[in-house]
Amino acid sequence: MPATSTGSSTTVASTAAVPKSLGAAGLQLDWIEDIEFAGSFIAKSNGYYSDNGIDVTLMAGGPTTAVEPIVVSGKALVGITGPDTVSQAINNGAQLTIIGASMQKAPQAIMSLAKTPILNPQGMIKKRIGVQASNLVAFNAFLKINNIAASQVTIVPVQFDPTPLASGTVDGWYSFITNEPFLLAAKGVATHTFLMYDYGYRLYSGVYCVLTPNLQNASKRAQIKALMTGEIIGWEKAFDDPSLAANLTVNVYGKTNGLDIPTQTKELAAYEPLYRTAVTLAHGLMWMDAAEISQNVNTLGLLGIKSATSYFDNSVMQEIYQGQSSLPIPA
Amino acid sequence: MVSLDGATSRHVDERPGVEESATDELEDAVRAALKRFKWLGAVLGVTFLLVLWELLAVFVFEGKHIMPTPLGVVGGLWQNRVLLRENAGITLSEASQGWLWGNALAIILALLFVVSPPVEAALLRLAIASYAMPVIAIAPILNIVFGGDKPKVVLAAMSVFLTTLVGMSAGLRCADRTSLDLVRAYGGGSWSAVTKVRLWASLPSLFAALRIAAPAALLGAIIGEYLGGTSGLGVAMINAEQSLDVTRVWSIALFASALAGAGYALTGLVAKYLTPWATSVSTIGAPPAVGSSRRGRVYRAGRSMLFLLISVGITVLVWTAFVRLLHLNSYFAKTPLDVWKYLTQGQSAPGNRAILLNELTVTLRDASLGYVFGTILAVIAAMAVVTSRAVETMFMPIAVVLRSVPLVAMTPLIALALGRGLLSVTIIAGIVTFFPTLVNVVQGLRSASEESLLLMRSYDASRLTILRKVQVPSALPSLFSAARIAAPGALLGAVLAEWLSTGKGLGFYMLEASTESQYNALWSGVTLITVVSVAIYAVVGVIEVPILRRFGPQG
Repeated sequence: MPATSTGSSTTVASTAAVPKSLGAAGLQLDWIEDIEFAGSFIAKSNGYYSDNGIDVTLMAGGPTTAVEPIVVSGKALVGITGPDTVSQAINNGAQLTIIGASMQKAPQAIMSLAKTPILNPQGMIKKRIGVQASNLVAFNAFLKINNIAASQVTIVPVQFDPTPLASGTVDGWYSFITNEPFLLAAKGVATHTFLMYDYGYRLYSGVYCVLTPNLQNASKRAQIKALMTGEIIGWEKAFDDPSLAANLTVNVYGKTNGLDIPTQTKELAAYEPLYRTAVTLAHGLMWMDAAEISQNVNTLGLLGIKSATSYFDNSVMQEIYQGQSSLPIPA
Repeated sequence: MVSLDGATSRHVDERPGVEESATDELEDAVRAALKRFKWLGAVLGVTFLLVLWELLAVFVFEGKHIMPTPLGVVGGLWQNRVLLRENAGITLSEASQGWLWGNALAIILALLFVVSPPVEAALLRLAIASYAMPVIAIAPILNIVFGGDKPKVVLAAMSVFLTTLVGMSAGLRCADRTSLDLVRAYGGGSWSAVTKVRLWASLPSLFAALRIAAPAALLGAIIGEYLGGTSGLGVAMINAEQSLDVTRVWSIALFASALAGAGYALTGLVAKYLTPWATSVSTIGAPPAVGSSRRGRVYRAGRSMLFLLISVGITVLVWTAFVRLLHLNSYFAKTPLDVWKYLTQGQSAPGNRAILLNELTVTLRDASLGYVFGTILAVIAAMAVVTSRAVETMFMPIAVVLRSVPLVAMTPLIALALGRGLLSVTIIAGIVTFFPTLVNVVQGLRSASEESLLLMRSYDASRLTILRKVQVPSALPSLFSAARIAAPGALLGAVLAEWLSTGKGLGFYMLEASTESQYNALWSGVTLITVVSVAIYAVVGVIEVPILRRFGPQG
């Protein structure tokens, strides 16, 4: 795998030094424990957090979890959430900063049937696209980015079950590349998808946010760095060893959630290209490139959400990587 | 656990042979059969439900991935047995802790209320407010204030608290006047009245409340699990819904319903064992609303206003203290002052008010449709239940199943099946209304005085005449005590439906506010809903007085 083989052989200080105990901290997840957090599960069970001196508690989320207030309250040191909700929290007085981005590319995609594929945004013209009410704003922004007038596409209000695409009621489907294609695949329907990110919808997903004052506090900053180091190594390991990732997710952390190995493995594979992009291959997972940050601010603006480059701070990543392009996975 | 000697002496009354004077021979036969095979009725009821379900699944929702067939769900239950067992343990533990805490607090407070009416006047509204708060909206705060699994326990406790408080209070007050006078004549104070008379008199009503509490606690815990959690039936349901595995969703929902139903039945059994006189309490004292002061209207109005102000004062104090003492960050934790400023000061205040009121109108329409719909059905069902034992054994299990369906999880499914419009909201608000109304009205119809019933029967009055002349009037108080629970419940049901599916009304407005970190708007919404619910509760009380004076049973 490129991330590990291209890294130089020098060791990174934090793993070579004997770790001193930095205490305990919480990591607030924004969903129930499934493959979306495989890297954290591996970091926890393989000791990548504790190797760096921090004892991390994974705090499971759910459909009504609001991550930002939990981070603001100090219950969690780090929270995983969306760049949109963090920006809105900051706009409303929360002292939060985004310190890393797991998914460099948002997973939003347009899905179509493999036999009648929609290959790019222009392909949607004169087609019926199923869009859920909650995603209308994003879809309209996407049309605007691609200079497509709303009148050129027929938007069909739909729910989350993509069966209407399979039955031909619509030609395209607003979906998440990590979810709906698998729902149809399970029913034997082959699909084609293109990522909205690849056509100008430049947005992160699954960003890590912390309380801004904690970045100025030496001991808190050390905790944050230790947690993120464990997190990064955990994700490198997850992509290198998908069976370990799926096994930990299904049989240990998400044990009572009714998950299954084949689906979780497929989903992990769908996440990989969103994590491992040109930017992160060059600088390391979670890295936030200045150009990408401005693109995020632009896209958020099109969604009607005020954001600023100052909401993002890549300095924790810089300190963690120290010029390397990856962190070595301990044997 | 308790000796009933003191209590039963007053109640050892006969269950006279009147039941045998049934008019219809066929019904006699049915009843005899049901007596021998008590479970037969329940089986019939459940069978009816299953057939209806199968028909719906096959003919209406086929291929829509909304509703699996009953057989599919049986398979699902078996396939997911390990999953269900593991998660049920977690959810049950949260629910039973919440049940215990919520009920214990409610019982203590009810005792305090009956001994000291001023305390009641000051604190009752606070208790109602705790019930009327849209939990889904205050969830983030609960998550922050209580760590780990505690938010689920708190939500379970909040779900049972008011119903038990109201039930227990009503029970304590329905104590026999003569017995109370006797205690007083012997120089006993209000505490001796409580321990010697009221406590025993309250048991039937308390148990009726505890029965409702069992499924309610379970629902509270499952709602809590939607806030996020490692395990539990609610958590398992989240994944099933995300994977569109409708068979698993329904299996989990049905299993949760069965657990809730079992809790309901178990409480019923315990009640039957401990309070064998419960169904034949011969008199019910005038409810509190009537037995108030004989002084002038102006005095009473002034007094009510005073206590209203005290309640508001306490609420504002408790709320502010909560935010300040816990050092909650002002970005998400707003004080009453923040809400006041948001609604009255600055250029945007009129706009803020207009939006909230506009959304409230939508929510009130949703809720009242649901309430009316649920109440009519519940009253019809209650009459059927008390008129015919066959209907009761057939119907009550269905009603309990309906009550126990985890609404949070089912709302998206209901929306899928019936669209995101008014129909879905009406049904959800209706379901919330139906069950407490049914249970209370059945209890009320049964509380008709034995003397009146005997009299009517001796005149050979038909069942319908008895129902109309004796049972319905004696059930009126229960309809109102049900309304106090059901009307705010319908409002909450509407908010929940709006939040989870319809994208309209105050519920959806609060969801938007929450995702956009507009916490001033969110807290204002929560305040508005709570105030309106408490007001509805109060209005029910006001309407109750003249109606009860006219129709209510005499003490």
